Amino acid sequence: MNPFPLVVAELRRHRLGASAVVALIALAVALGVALGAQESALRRASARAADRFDLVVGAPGSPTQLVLTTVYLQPVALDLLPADVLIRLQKLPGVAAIAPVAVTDSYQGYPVVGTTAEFATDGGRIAIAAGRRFARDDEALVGSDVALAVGDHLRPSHGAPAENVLESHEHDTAFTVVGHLARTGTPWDRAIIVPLEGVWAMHGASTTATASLGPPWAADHAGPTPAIVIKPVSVAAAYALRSSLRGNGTVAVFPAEVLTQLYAVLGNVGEVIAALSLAFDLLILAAVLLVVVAVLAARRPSLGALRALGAPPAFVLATVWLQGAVLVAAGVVIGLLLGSILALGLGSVLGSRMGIAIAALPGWREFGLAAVLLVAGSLLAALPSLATLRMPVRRLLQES
Amino acid sequence: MTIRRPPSGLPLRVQSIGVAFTEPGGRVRDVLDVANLELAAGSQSALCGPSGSGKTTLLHVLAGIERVSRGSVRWGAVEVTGLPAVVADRWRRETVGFVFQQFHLFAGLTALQNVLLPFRFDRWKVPAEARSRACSLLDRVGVRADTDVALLSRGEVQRVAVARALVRQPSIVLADEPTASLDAHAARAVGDLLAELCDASRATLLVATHDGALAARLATIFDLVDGDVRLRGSATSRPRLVGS
Repeated sequence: MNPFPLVVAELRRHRLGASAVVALIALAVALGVALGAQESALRRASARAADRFDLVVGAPGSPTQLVLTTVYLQPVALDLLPADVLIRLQKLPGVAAIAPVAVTDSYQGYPVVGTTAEFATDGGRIAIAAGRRFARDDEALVGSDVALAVGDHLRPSHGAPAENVLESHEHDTAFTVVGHLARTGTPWDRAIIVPLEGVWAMHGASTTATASLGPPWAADHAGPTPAIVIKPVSVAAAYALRSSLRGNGTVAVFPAEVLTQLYAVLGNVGEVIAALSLAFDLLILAAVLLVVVAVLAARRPSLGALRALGAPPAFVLATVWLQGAVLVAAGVVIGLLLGSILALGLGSVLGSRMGIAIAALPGWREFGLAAVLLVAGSLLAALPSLATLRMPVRRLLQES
Repeated sequence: MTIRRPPSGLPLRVQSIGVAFTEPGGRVRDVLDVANLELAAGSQSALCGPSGSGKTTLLHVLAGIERVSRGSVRWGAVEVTGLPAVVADRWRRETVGFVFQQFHLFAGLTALQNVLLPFRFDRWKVPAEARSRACSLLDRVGVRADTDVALLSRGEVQRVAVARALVRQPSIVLADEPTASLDAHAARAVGDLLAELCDASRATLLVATHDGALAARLATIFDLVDGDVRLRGSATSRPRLVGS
């Protein structure tokens, strides 16, 4: 048998209603897919941004705030670690590399971060797109999203632009941009990175001017810093350092610990989104089912005629079922495509607001949901026609 | 793939059938109680009677659509009323052509696709021979093969339906009020077509109708009265019919 010519003719005859049904299903699927994709993409992107921050040490206070400020450059004034902590830490066994991170100033809305050139380029893993690393304490490297060119000068203000205007002030120290970093997809793309020694000099913290930048720091040219990032030599060393640096005037956290807590909240949100979009999809399916029942009731005499002409029940069933299944399948496929586009759009909006690059593409969970919808919809589409076939041909034809 | 020539010369015999419907509420109503009816092979007859007298039901019984509570319908050696549903569908597909009052063509399909529809029930591809037969039938009924049937007049639609009923070269053609939805002119054309095409293919024709003019042009007229069939002009209430 070949029900397709009839299926195509019937769908074309009802193309307006059919398009509406497809659009409805596509929208429901697209929304579910787009929202679901955001949540998992946000998770991946935020984890990636924390990759190079193995162990973060700060003054006693909120570990979450320490991570948000150091990794995501949230402009909040942290308590400072005295210079002797920095000097002590760089000599600890198990420390492979050490980098103070000071988010204290801003320039035209960009955070100015003091750290080492080594950390700014992640030991060379972050390429320098133009120019070179800073070599003096009045030079600066800028992230890929900073609208400053090599050779530009800047004079940072103390505090973040969002803070009280009265408290913020412009420094006398000027920096010259000497390099532009490649894009990393992290909040650091918006950062103006200067040598820590420059920050110290700007705030008058370091007594002696020095020609050499970066570690090792000695007492005569070291200043306080809000956070220190440690790259340990091994996992065991990381845990040993974390426990030895808790208490005694310091806290030490793995950013992953803080992220895990945040993800626990995000995870619930993800489940709520998934449950809501599934419920939404089921609602749409119910509406589609109603449409199928209504259309089928109107088509009963024709189905009766098909039976009288000798069509086996399977032919009638296939004709009716395929019409529903085609609509559901088209809706789900278009919904997946639409959802992917929507996810990318939402991702870039959300990403630019949060300063992280979110590549939000539907994952297995979204495809799984769509597949469930496809199967459930196809099965549901068969139910009304099965019910119709149980009626005697006489009664189907009678309603003409 | 060839189209089987219908074995001609098989009569349709009805023996003491009863059909009862259970109405909503559970009451059982006898609709048909036909003692004896024989349609000779190739005969052309009209089945007359008021609305609700059971004409449609009798046609459905003859086509194997409606189940009987007793008695039998035989087509040659085949007991139609005893066929399992699947076999009955196949038998009907290969043996019976049906024309309805409400046409039941499918808008969106062309006239040719509508006529070829009965081949879709059991075949993926329509045999070339069937296609050429459908085209010559449409030619004969005077409708262009590639017209969308939504654009046809009622008379043209019913002529396409007649072509569809005859495309598989059925041995039996059953028409249920084929002219009731048509004006006099179109009705005459459809009646002519039915009679001529059935005559040409030696199919047995039974037309349930109110249309006196249509009934008059067929060789035999049966009246359906009180659920039983009587041959018009015959004194006996239990006729043995001989076809033309």
